[in-house]
Amino acid sequence: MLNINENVVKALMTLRGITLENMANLIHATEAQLWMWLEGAEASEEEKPSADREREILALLGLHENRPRGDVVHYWTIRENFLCNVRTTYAPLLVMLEVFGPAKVVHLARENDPAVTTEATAYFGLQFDTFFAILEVQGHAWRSIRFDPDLFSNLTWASSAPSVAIPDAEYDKLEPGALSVFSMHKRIQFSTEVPLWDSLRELALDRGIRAEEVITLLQSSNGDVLNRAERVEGVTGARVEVRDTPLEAPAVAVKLPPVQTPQAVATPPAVKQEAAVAAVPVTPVQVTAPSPAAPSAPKPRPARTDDFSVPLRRQ
Amino acid sequence: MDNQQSSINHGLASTVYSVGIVLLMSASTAVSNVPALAFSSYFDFLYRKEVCVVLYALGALLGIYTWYRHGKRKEMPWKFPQSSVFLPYCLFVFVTLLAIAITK
Repeated sequence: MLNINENVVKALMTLRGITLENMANLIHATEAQLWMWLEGAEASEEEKPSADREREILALLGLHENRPRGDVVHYWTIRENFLCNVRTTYAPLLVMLEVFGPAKVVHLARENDPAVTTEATAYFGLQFDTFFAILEVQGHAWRSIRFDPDLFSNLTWASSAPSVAIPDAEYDKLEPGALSVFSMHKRIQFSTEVPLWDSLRELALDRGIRAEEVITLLQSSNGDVLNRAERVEGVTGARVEVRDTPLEAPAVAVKLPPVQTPQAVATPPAVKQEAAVAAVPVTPVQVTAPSPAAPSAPKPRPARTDDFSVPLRRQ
Repeated sequence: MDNQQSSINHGLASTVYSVGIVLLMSASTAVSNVPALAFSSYFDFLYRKEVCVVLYALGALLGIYTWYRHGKRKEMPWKFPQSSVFLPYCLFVFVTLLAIAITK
């Protein structure tokens, strides 16, 4: 059984368009060494890359602490030939979904459809648990694109409106590093919320509620909408009556001491202020500089484990 | 997943298709009314009319296929790229223009 390390590395090299020769050149190793490691061939330690080289490879591919980095948007490319086998072509993506999935996908579309073009390229935004990725699918000019989330068990559309329109200038400059994590998150969140806002608008129209009334309500209540006498439960239209009663005080576990009666309280004797002042000797107080706090011991770092020893689940 | 229409603006593509249709109609009108544009006046070959009919039928099929792809692209733009609509449309215009040119 192959170690998951090599499968993920091979998948990412294919998705990033990095050949064996390029990788060997970047990490100062030979192609033979890389091939021995990636194919799991039996070889001595000298015939395989060292542990430091393996870490370099993982860092080059954007892997940090056993998973792709979450501070960048990864950029993957898949090319479809005229006659291509979907399972073979999308095998690298399948590996990533098996290891790091599940994920949600949106279609990143150009705001204004280009009329005259001979390129068949589609962009998809993938949202995993801890990172984002853009998938560029280069299809054949005469054929439809085979990519379909329904073919993958760990991949679903983010919403019922899968296409998100991107401004033309931004779309034409889509390349590795063009989109930030914040921008990707905003795009996917917008795609998810558009159908919900549409449902909300239809519900409001059905009940004769105008947008101005909703805006006035939100502005006047300062967002405290839940204290209304009635509130709409979700988007199903069911109204739930809420009584305007104060919340019950939570049970207090600490016993309070009994309140003393005024008679039990002893009145303090009257104190002459002048005598009190004279009776208290004033002693000089030496101010010493506080000793510098001892540096706290650094927290031990968790042990780093580049361990992809989870076996690849076979379908 | 519901196949809802995307929010992409297909205005430019519709304009290009309209320009092609206008070009075909103009060419047909010109060939019909200008005797000097008659192809048979300069060159004629056997089975010209039959070839013309075949070209018209092929052009019609390509036009229907282009219209079908354009509708599908409006529904699922991620699955049907614009190139798969534009290239059949170019063939449709070319084949139909050829049929119009050799009609008379």
